Amino acid sequence: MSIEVVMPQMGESVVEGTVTKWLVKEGDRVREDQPLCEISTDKVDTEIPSPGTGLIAKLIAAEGETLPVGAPLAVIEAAAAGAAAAAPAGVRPQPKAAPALPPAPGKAAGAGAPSPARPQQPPALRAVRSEPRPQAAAAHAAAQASAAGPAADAVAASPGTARAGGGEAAGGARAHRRYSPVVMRMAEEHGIDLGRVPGSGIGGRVSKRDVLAYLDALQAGQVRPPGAAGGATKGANGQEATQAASAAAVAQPSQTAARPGAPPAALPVGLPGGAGYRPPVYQPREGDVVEPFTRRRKLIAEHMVYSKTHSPHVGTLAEVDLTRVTRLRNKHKDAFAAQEGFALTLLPLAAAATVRALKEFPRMNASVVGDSLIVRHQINLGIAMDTEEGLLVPVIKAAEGMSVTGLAREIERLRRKIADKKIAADDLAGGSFTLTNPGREGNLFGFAIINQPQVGILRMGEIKKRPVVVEVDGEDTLAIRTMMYLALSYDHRVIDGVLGNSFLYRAARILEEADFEL
Amino acid sequence: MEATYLKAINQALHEEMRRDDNVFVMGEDVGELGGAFKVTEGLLDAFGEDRVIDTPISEALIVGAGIGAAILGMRPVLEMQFGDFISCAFDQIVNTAATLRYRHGGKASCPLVVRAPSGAGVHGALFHSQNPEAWFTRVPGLKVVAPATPYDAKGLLKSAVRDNNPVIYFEHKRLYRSVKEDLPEGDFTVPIGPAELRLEGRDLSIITYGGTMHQALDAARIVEKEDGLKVEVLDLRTLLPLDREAILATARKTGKVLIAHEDRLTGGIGGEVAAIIAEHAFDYLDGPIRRVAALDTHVAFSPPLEEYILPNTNKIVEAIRELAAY
Repeated sequence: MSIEVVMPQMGESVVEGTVTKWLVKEGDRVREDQPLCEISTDKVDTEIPSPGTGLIAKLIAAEGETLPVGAPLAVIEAAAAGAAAAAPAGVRPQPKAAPALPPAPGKAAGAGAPSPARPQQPPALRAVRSEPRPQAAAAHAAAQASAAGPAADAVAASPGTARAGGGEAAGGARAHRRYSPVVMRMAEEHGIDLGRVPGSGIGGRVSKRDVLAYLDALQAGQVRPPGAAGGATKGANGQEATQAASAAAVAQPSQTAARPGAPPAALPVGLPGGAGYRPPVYQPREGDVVEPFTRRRKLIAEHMVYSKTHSPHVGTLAEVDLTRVTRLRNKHKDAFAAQEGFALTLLPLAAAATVRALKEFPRMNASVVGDSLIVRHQINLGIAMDTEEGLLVPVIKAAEGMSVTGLAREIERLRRKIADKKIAADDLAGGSFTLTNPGREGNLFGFAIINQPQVGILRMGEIKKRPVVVEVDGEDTLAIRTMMYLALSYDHRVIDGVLGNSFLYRAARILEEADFEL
Repeated sequence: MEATYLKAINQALHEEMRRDDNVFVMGEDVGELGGAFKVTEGLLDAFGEDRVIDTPISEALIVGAGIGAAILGMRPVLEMQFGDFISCAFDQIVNTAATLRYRHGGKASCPLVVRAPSGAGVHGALFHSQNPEAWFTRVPGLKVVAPATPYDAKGLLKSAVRDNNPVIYFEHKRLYRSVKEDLPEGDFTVPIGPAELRLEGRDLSIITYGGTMHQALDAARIVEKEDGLKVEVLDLRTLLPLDREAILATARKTGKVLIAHEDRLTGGIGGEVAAIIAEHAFDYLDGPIRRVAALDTHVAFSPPLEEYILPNTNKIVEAIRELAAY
């Protein structure tokens, strides 16, 4: 009997993963639960354990290949069998060219023919796969649903609600984006970028009919061919994407496809009209060390470029007197440490102030999706954390209902998960606003880049005692106070100055007043 | 005049024997009994026992004697009572009849017809359900036909009788009395070679022949009604030589091809058809070439198992839907 190893479902919003490294090769004998390969998703890196004991018959996925959830990665010939070697009587072979077709179960002939039925879910993977193997229709729907957020996929190192535009793509599989011969030929004949053609086939596959429909739309002027926007970046015109229900072009056109009517979450990466500057050609010098981007670094880079390119950042700075809140912390820190087992820092207090200010200004707790601002009811506060492999932003879900202690526990829990390398994709998804604290050596202040598609990010600056002028009994006097600069970056596409300023002002005052229960 | 598939064959035999004195019929029970299925009924009365010959139960003898007669200028029509037993005459057919012209530098010919009632779906079990056509479709020197309609049954048999090469004529038992058609009066033939487009479509092509052709047509009507799919149905009619142009034309037109036959999947003519398409129409394909065929096992006696093993309308409908969605 052969066991198929598939791309596991690693989190609700994860639709694909990249095989970064095979740890076994064809012909190797493997035990159940032995790691087979390393998988990297836009959220987490993990190893895939072997679903059974046997011989690696075939490695289907290549290193570096990105495949949808449920896609076959390898085939293990289970120890006992040998049945699959000779196609048993009465078995309809699965068409190899059609991986998206669901296997026809129970096609084994009755007359004592050995059953070749391959397990749809290897037992070892059942625990991590919350969704069934995508059936044709589900895969189709999910591929369409996920399509609204291709750029978000590409950029999301910590994408929060990136996929909101197309609905949650749980369990969905994006098409392999292999094209049939006729589709390839027609694309060449008509000069079509197939990444722009919405697919209606199984798993979002682009069929001949889809190409014909696209050509019709092109002719009817409902879609514009790439490059028609007068040298502007592909698809920079959001109108195109909505009108044509065509894929919004992104850096990876092979990942695009859009649902008709869905707001185009994906806008192109790349500077509009920025064809001019090219960095100088690299000249190697002795001692240079070349560090190729890791996958996470690449995702962070794309996310940052996307954010800076699409969202006009405004920076605003507030001075915060932390004397009172520091006193509050100092008063409770021993009892807190004794009770909770970890130290009380200023971070949960700043988080509590942020949440309270967000409640007062709900429009700051929002996402930009296409041409819409989506105001989020639930406050999911992302807390930026530094890790060995780079920046991660775990998310405190439903922070609006949490006390300072609750927030502190949640931050500690996420911190530990990162330290233990157990952070899950779902821990990193769904953020609606972000707070970042670069810590002791974070310098005076700085403006962070907005974590898309959110609309603002708060950055804590250096905490330092300074002489400040205070009023005591109507008299101005110098006093030594614990001070910090709190910097807000907000997206001027959707947040105007009055709102941005008011929000920051309130966040700073709430933190100063230190009216927190502990 | 309306005629069943069986009646059409009977008419063709009558007409050809009347037309040409060299035509004669030979086989087990073809005379007195009029054939196990009554295909040769009336021939003995009409043409006498010199031209309607009951033989011992030996397929090798029937074909061997036929070859001898053919070499001497006769045009024998030889009946295998069941196509399943044509394997008994295999050596005579593939080594003797098929090679004769080649062995004599083209100077000799072997104008005989072997009629092989074949096919399943009649609860005939292992020895009365076979579709042995693929054993012959790779033998140079033979022609192989498998009509699906009364018109073709009559027209192809007449062409087979008049052909100067050995022709294996597969007639589907299930069709004998289940399909009827108005046949034109007078002499007509259906040429050996060309396939016939039974239904024009746009979304997908079914390439089929024989008994399965009717299931394919039914399936096409069902998916047109229920799914709005326009399915093209190509009836091969002749299996050797294949009508490559017609096969490639439909494949190029729709880009999705489903091959359906009652013969087993492995080694069936469907594999050859698929290969022709993959080789010559690759650039037009919009999906995998799919096959619906009998499972790779023997046809069982138990009706539910027989149903399970054989292709049918529902299985074709299912395959159409999967392929159309691809």
